[in-house]
Amino acid sequence: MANLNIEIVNLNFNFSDQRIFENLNITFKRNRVTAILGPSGCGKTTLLNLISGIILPLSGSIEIPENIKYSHVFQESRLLSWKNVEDNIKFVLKSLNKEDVNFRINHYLSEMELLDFKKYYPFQLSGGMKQRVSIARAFAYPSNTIIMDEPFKGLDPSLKSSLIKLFNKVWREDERTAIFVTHDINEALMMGDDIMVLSKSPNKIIETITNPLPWSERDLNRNEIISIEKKLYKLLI
Amino acid sequence: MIFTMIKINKHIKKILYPVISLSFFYIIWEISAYYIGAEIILPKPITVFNSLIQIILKQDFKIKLLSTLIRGLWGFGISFILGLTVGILAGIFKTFRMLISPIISIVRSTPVISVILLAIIWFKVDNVPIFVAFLMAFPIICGNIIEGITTTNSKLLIMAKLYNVPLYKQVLNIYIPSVFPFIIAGSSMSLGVIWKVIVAAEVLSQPKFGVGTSLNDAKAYLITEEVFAWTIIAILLSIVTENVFSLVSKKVINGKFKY
Repeated sequence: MANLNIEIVNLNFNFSDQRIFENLNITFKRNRVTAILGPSGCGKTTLLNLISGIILPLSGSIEIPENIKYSHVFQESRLLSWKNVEDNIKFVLKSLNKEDVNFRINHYLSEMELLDFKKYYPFQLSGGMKQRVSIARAFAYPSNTIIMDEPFKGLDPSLKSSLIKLFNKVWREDERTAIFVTHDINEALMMGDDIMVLSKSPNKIIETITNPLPWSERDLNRNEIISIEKKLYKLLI
Repeated sequence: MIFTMIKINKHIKKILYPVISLSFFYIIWEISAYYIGAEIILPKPITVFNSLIQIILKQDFKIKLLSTLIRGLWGFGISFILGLTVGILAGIFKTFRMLISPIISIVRSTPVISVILLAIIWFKVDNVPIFVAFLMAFPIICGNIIEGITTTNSKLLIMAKLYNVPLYKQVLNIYIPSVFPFIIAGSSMSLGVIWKVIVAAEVLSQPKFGVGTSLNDAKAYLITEEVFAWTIIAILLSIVTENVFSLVSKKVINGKFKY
């Protein structure tokens, strides 16, 4: 059976003359949410760019399944301000028939509680709503892997928490491999099935923790989560 | 009282301020003409106004005005289509941009008078103003479009690329809407320039009909009030076309590109 994981093998990457990654080895398991947790400047976004092929490694390889198709959620919503919500999602949906496009748009907008805002323009939406559109776009796109670069950065804690709940809900109905980078321990604990801690200088994975709780039972006040939280704090300090 | 004056309606201000400035200009003109006392040097405003009415009432006025208008529209149309095409290509493809940039810089820096004189040698008199208008307007439109494309939000382009959106869809949905304000600005600027160079080219190339030709005839016979009158006609032509363009572009923006 073909390997459906994404494997980073002995990857080296330099930025200018500075070595960012040296002999990096990571396995992203299929249909699991992997959170990469690390401080600013540890190369989290660079790692995502390497996985999506925006930049190429100096040496080593990124082994990906043959039929891999990525969708993306960025730090900013990256919506076209001159298109409404529906057309923004339609913009990335090609090679699908009209009915499928409409179904996907309606389905994921409804999952993201945005169906009533289908005809709204980005300037008419709040920051959190725009990011929900961005997540709906990522799900509507027929991908099997979602790459997320600090998608909740800059949002207030209650909004962040409701977005994480929404994401988890949609995710479990439509499982895909997800690679998600963050510097926020709570986000990693609430979303990640696997949490990888990336250190700075040297930039390498120093710990991989499997979340002991299924997403529906994850709560920041649970003892299992608190003990991992403490461990993660120690690793990041 | 003072408070009421400050709160003068915006619409009234829009009319009031130009009226004040034009009245001031009129008074200065009237006083200067009175002191100079020689209408051949500076005619009185009323003399110019009478001359303007006479020109407009003449049978050949329409053909003279239309000839200039058509030349201007041709010049603008060619500049717009070529400027748009070359601008888009140069904006997207860096190598093409590097190849075309020196040519655009040379054209932009060439004195208008050199272009007019060369065009007189190369073309039929009727086509000289069109060629000159094209050479003056093309770099403005093209340059603006290149600027618009190169300043297009790179994050949106990366998003489109990552989602495998084909290039033609990127051009239609990201580049063109981003560049649209630059197209409007470039076209508006070039329309401002075009009438000046068209009239100048007509003065020198002397086509059978045209505002510039009539301007030159008036100068030749020292009918100064007619020189003024034709100048006013050229100014009005420029103002009217710019306003029409501005109205049309506003409608297009409202209809298709909601920002």
